[in-house]
Amino acid sequence: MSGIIDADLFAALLRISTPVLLVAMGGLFSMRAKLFNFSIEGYMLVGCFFSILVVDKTGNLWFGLLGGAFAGLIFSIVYGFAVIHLKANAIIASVGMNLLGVGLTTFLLRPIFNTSGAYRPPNMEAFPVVNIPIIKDIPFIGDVISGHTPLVYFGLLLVIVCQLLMYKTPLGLAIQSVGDNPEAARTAGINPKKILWLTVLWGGFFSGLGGAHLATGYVTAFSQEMTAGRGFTAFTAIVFGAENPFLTFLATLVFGFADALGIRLEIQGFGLHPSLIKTFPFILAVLVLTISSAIRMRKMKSAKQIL
Amino acid sequence: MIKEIYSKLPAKILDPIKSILRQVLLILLSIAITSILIWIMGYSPLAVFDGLSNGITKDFPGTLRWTTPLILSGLAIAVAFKTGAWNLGVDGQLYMGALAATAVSLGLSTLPGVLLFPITVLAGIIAGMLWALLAGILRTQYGANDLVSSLLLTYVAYHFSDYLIHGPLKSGAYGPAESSNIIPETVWLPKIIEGSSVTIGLIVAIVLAVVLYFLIFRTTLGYELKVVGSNLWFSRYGGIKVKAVYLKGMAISGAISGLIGVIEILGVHHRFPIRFSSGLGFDGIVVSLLASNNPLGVIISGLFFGALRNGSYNIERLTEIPRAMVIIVQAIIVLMVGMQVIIKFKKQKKDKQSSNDDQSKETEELNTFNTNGSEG
Amino acid sequence: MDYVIEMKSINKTFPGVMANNDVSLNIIPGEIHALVGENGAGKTTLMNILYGLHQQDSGEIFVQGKKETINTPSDAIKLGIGMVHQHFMLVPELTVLENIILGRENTKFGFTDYKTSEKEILGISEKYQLNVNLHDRTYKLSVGQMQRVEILKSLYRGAKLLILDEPTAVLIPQETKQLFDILRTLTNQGCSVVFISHKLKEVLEISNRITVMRQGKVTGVVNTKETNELELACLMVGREVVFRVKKELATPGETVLEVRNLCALNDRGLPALKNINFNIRLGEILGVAGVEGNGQLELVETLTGLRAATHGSIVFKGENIEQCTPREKREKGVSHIPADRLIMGINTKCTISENLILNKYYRVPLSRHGVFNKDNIKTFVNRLVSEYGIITPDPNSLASSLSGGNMQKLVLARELDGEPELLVASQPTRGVDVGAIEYIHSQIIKMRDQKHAVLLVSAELDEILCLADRIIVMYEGEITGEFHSTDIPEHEIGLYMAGSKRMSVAQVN
Repeated sequence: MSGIIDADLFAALLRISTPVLLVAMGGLFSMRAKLFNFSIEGYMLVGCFFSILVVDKTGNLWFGLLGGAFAGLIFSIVYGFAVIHLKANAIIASVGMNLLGVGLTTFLLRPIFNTSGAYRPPNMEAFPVVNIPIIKDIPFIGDVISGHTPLVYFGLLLVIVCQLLMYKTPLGLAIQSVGDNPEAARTAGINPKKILWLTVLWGGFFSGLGGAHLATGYVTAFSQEMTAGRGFTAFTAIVFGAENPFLTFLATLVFGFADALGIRLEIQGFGLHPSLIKTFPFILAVLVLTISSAIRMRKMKSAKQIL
Repeated sequence: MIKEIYSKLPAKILDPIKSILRQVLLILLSIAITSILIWIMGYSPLAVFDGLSNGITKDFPGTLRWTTPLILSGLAIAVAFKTGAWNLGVDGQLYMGALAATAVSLGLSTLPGVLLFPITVLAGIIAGMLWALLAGILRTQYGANDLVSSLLLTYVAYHFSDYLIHGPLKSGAYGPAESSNIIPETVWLPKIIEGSSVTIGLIVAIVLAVVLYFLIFRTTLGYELKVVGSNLWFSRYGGIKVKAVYLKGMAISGAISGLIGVIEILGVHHRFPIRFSSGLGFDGIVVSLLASNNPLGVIISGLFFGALRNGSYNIERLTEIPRAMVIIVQAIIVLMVGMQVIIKFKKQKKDKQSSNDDQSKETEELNTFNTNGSEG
Repeated sequence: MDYVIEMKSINKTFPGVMANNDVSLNIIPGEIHALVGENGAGKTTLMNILYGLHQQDSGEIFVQGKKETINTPSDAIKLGIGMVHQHFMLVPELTVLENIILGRENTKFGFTDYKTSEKEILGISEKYQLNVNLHDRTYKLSVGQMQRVEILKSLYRGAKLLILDEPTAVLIPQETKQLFDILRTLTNQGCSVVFISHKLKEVLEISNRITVMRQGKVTGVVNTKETNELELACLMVGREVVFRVKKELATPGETVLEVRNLCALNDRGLPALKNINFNIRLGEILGVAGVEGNGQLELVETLTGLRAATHGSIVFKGENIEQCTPREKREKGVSHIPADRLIMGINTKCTISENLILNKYYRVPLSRHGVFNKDNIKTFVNRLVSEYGIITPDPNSLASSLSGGNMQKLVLARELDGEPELLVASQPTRGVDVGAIEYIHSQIIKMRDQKHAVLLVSAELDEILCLADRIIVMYEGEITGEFHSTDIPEHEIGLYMAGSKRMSVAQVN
């Protein structure tokens, strides 16, 4: 196994986890406000598409990232309107948004890029790499931590920001109270609708950014339904982390590890079929979901005789 | 005059007519929105209507071919939603059903047809059922959210099927590209329209819809499914075995999903082509929602989406307008049903804002029980 | 004279109900103003309008003589209005401090500045003698403490007028005394208080003036000193009130239920029942008194099979039934009116008829081999609807269309049909109108007179005293007292409810 688990693997882990991490940090707040929001998969896909579109038109990767993030933000307005104002069921609305994401991006491929299936902008460049002084010279740790694209560091920073936002600011307190007892929040002078809107838009923006990063920084192309359930993995990470940003971050790392390890095994030809390896992260996600739910259930240990 | 007749009609006839009119309005609205987008992108704004009429008039067998799986997946979702089971994994379950049917028929191909056929069908149904039950049991035993797990298991099924058709279900390099070997002819479904892909599967789907209608509205099991699906506390209080009923609902849903896989393989493809379903499972959500989870309504809405889907294939061939326009129409329908656009509009006229806030709060609470599901 | 608050001709309609009909109310500075009336008289609606949770259809509100529009609670808060709701508006997972400052935090560099707020709150709590530990998680507090947190919350927001909605409903008599002391301190410091209640004795004790409401209208405004219980009751109900239901002396028969050393856990997995012992005989009503949350809910659920007993036995008609499922218990003759009508007693998404058949749907004649017999169901449902006077145009309409009282009649019809030997009734009259209360009480007494047994759990001590033949008192999962007569002063029972007095094991058994 020594050939498999090395510094490169952990470096790859950070790289692979970043898109999912960004999406998870996006979706976390609306989940904490008890909106069952798994439309983040849809925002992510829209983010992928529009980031590639912007890169194609401007040739600038950074504009691409912003384009993807804002596309996700605009897309999430539809969801917010449906769920917050028209009181649509959050699950049904999420299904609708995800379908809309798939439909729109697949449809637009033809009229905009005049192709179907996939599109890679001809002027696509790679993101610059950040070499952190001093750290980069430390053996192993330097190889793992240094030398990533700026978005990887941004993702890590975002975890800290989210943690502070959730637990150290009035806004975080408001989000928690809206989730646990919206009536109490309302009587305390908080406008729950406003809070829910903030969390939905935040989710749209960062899920879009996560998608944009996936398309521009990782796959360097757009292909039909390219998110392939990554948004759902992010969603699972949020459920696992009980909406705590740091725990959610850990969960994304676990899924990223399964992914990175799978790719590693595939490259080294361990006799496992690549498609079989691709099931790993999802099986792991199901296991993690089950275990975390079981622990939570035992904690609350309902003494009720469940029939 | 018309009003007079209208007011004399009994509610039994009037209510279904009203709800059908409401849904037609909803469909028209969704198509209108999509058409605007299509028009902006420089295509003919009537593309969706063209597709629909094309699907119905020029290629009706093609429409029926799609209607079959759409009715079934609508039924799978309808049963699940009635039970309060968020089975969003119909797609995965139909893949497992299709895989099992393909594997069994290839593996036991030497058996005579009379034996092989029932075994193949049964294998597919059971595989779909087990895949659904897996998500169900994870919820009843460990409190894992069924929506998330059924969705994740779908991706497992996708990749697992990719693996099988690249390896074990294909003998050497001779098999067809990107699909399994061709299954023995003895298990192929008999066609009811020659020269098309319409098989007895269509009859099975319609009969099943009627059976489920009877099950839901006329039997104690149907009552239990509905009660458990709408209020877990009330069910427990009434002595209903909540977990068992929930699992029954999941099992029926999964079995129907498995059957879709069987009919697609045995009736249409005669082999397992890679990722053949193209989202049939998610279409079921739309089909069922539009029919308000009523099994008989599912037949009609299945036919509608069958025509739409079939038409979109033809339109794409003829005009290059991407058939994904259908997905957009479906998405908008889901969103509008979710928002209850038309019903809410009427209600708001009647009573402005008021105390229906309390009611929606209460339903929300019940919904959270359903989705968090530590109660199972 | 300047009023703190003046509400003029307030009208408010909900679908089908005129909640407030030309209602006017004014509050003098420094007074405790009681707002009394039956459930559903429109008191809470009026106060919710004042607090910005509802908007009036017409009418005007003046605060300190100035006309104001109050659209949201934050508008009300800015005008110095604070409200303590009947169901506390606290977030259980947050700390007391977080709950108090929620929505009005001090910040430092954008982060919440807990230190400054804490100092501020300690100042207030000292001034008004409101002691709570600011760092406790709120769900750990007792009801009385939560109420203090709610009052602190309002004062922290600068409330000059405090609205208290049924504040004593959840308190034991001793806690009520403490609350009244707090209210007097508040008014001495210049605050005004609106005190919503339907308990006339308390109102007469604490208030300066009283506004009485009935069916959305004001029926009288009186000075407390110049009125009495009877006059208020007449204004409230609009007719002479029977303060006690008439009933004969009980003639209990043989023991039907015997509970021995029963233990069970609550939802958090902590002991909720600790060695409970009691029995009920046929033909008697056993009342369970106690402040809510002292194990009554768990007791009811364990008896009816919804919760597992961790220890002990339940003997019903000579048979051990602690292992039985809810359905088995029902079939043996244990019936259950649950406390939470809208969640457990009624399925609001099902029809009235579907609600009524819950206990019998799986048996002949309603169904055979799993298939329903439509005609038999129709007969069955029609019989129950007429027998129990459930008012509905069509039994196939949704149960959510029924009024509170009719919903409870539906539950009663379902649970009493088939003559169960033991009725476990939990908060049977909560939130229903007077007419329905009288009806439910008479049905419960009828059950007893027909030689059935009734276990009555109620948070309303009055209800227990009025109906029960024998009373046990629960405190923290234990039975602290048992009374064989109901002729005991409330204060005495209050001591047992508070746990400050308890009988020895020998006495209880």
